[in-house]
Amino acid sequence: MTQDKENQSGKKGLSRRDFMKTTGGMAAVAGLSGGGLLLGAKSAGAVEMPKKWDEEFDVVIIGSGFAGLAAAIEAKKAGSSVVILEKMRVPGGNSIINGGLIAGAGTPLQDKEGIKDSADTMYQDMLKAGLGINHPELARIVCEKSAETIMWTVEDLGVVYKERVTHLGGHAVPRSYYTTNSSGAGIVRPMLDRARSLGLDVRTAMYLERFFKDEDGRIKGVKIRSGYVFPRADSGKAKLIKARKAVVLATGGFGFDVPFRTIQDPRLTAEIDCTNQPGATADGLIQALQTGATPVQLSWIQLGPWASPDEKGMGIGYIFAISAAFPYGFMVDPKTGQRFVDELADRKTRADAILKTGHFAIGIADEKGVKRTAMLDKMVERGIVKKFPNLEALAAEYDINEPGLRETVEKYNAYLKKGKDDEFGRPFQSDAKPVENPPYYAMRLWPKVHHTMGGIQIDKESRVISMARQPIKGLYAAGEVCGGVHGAVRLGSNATVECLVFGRIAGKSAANQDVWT
Amino acid sequence: MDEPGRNPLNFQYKHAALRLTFVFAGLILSGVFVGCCFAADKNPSVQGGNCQGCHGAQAQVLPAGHVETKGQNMDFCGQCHQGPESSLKGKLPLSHSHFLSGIHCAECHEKIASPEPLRTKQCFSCHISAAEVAKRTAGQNPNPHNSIHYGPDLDCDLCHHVHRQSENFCNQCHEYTFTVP
Repeated sequence: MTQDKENQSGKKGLSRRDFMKTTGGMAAVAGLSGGGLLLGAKSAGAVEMPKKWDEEFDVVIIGSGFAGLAAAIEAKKAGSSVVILEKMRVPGGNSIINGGLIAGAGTPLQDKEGIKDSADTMYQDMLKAGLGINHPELARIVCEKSAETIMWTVEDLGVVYKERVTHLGGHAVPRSYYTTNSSGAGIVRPMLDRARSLGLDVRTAMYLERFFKDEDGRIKGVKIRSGYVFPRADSGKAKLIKARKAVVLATGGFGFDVPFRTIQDPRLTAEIDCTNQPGATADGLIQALQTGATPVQLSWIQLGPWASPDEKGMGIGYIFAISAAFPYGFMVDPKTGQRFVDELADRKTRADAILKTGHFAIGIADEKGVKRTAMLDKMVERGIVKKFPNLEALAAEYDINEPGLRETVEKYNAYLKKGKDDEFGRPFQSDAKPVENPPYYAMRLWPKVHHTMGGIQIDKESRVISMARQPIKGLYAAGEVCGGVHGAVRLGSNATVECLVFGRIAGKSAANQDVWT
Repeated sequence: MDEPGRNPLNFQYKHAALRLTFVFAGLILSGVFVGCCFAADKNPSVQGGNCQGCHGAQAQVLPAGHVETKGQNMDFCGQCHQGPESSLKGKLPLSHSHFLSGIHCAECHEKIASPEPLRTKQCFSCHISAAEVAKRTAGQNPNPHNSIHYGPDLDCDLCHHVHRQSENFCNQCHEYTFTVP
C-alpha cells in the first residue's frame, strides 16, 4: 500500500498531495465536506507504516501547554516512556502567557471565606453560559475534579496562589484561584520543573506533520519536522517517531489562525486582534480531522470583553477590568454615560454587548475599587488605564456623556447599598464600596479573539472519537484542541482547569493503553 | 497562517527616530551583513575594523570623515560612541561587535564554509550562563532575560541575530521599547 487510503477512496480525485499543498484550514474543511473521509469506516485516513522509525516512545505528546504537560507528567509517573514535542521555539503555548486563574468548586480558599459552592453549582454555571450545548459528561468531569486538581497543583507541583479567590464573570460565586505572579507561567513553570524532575524535557521546534494511522485504525506514530521555524512550512527535517502506546494531542486552540477562524466565523478577520501567542493555529486540529476525528462546534469562537484596544494582544489592561472595573466598578457606553450589561455576565454576553454599541466601552473604578489590582502603575504608565482627579476629567478624556455618567454613579451606588442591581442583576461583592473616592481610574474596552470552544470530540477517557462513532485507537486529546466542554461560551478560568483535568486523564489513559506489536 | 504585522520575524520600532537610525545603519551596513562572514571566510585574517577587508576596497561603509577604524576594537569605538545618542547598541550588527571584539567566524561556527545555526550553550562559552546574562539586565523592568513567563530559559537567538536584524521576542505580545543589540 503506497497511497493514502483517503486518496484511494476519494470521490473528487483530490490527491493527498494536492490536499496538503492547499492552505491548511481551507483544505481540511473542504476535504471533509467533500466526503472522502466521512465515508471511511475505521481505516479512514490510514497510511502506509514506515519500515523504520527514527525514535520510539510509549507515549508521544504533541504540545507543551497545561494539557500536554499534565499528560506527560501522568504518563511518565505511570511508568511509560514519554516525549513532549512542541511546535514553537518556546514551551508552554498559550498557557504560559495566560492570566493565571483556575476555577475550582469546593476548595479550601472558598471554605476559608465561607463561600458555599459545589461541583453541581459550577456545572450549572457552565451550562448556562454554554447555552446548554456543552457535552454534559465532559463538563461534569471538569467540575467534579476541579478542586482536587487545584490541590494537585499546590501539593504535587508547588504552585503558589494568592490568598483570596477571585469572582469572574458568569460564575455564581468567587471560585478562581489566582497565581501570585498573575500568569499561567505560575503553573506552567512548576509543571516544567516537575517534568524535568521526572527526566522529561520539552523538545521545541517540532512540528506535527501527520499521524501514522495503520489499516487496523490505530495511530502508531507521527511524522514531525524537527528544527521547524514557525510559520515556515518547509523548515525543519522530517523525522518519524513511533508511539508504542499512544499519541496525546494537546495542540491548543486556533485563535491566531486567521484563515481557519474566518472559515468558521467570517466576522473574525485579521482586523480583530487576538490575545493568543502566534502559534495558536489549527495545525494539530487539522491533522486530527484528517485522520478521522469528529469536529465539534468549531464556529463558537470567544472574544474577551476585558481587552484593551490601547495595547497589543492580551496585554495587561484586562487585569484592571477583571479585578477593578467589573467587580468593584462598572462599564459604560460613552455615548450615553449609562451601563449597558451585567459586568459579571459571561464573556459572550459582555463582548456582544460592547460590539453592539459599535464603539469602545469605558470601564471605571475608584480608589477603593483598585485595591486588588496588580500592575496598576504599569497600566497607568503605558496609558492603558488612566487616572483622574474627578469624574468631570474622566468624562472629558473619553468624551463620555457627563450627566449620564453622574446619573450612573448615583444609581450604581444606590443598587450597591440595597444589594440589588435593578437594571442588570449583577451580583455584588461582599466587600464592594460605593464608587465615590477619587482618584478615578478608567480604561477603554474592545473585544479580542481569545478562545476557540470547538475542537475534536473526546470521551470521558480523553479518547478521540472518529466519525465512525468509535474511539480512534492510540489517539487521545486534551485541552483547547477538543470541543464540547464549554459549549457556546467558556467561563473565565475554566480553560486552565479543563486542560489540567483532561490532560491528566489523557496521560493516564495513554499510559494504560496496550503496546502494539 | 500568520497575521500580518504580527510575524515574529518582523521588527517594529515605536519611535520614528530609532527607525530612521536603523534604516541609516542598515543602508550603511547592509553589505557587511551579507558579505562579512563569507568574505572573511575567504580571508580569515581580516581584523575587525578593517571594513574594506570584507566589503571591498571601494566600499564606503562609514560616513565620510569618520575616524579610521583599521586595527581598532570595540573599546576604541566606545570612546566616541557613548550615551543614548551615539551608542552603537542595537545599531551595529552583532557580527560586527563580535568581530571588533576579536570573535571571528570560526570561533562560533565549526564549518565556516557551511555554517550551522548556533545553539544557546555555544553562546555561553563566552557569555557564561543564562543567570549571568540575566544579571546584566537586572536593572531593566521587565528583565527580558528573566521574564515572568520564560524565566532565564529563552534561547539567545529568539531575539539576538548576528547576521540579520535582531528582534524583540517579547513584542509578539507586548510593546516594549528597549533596544535589542
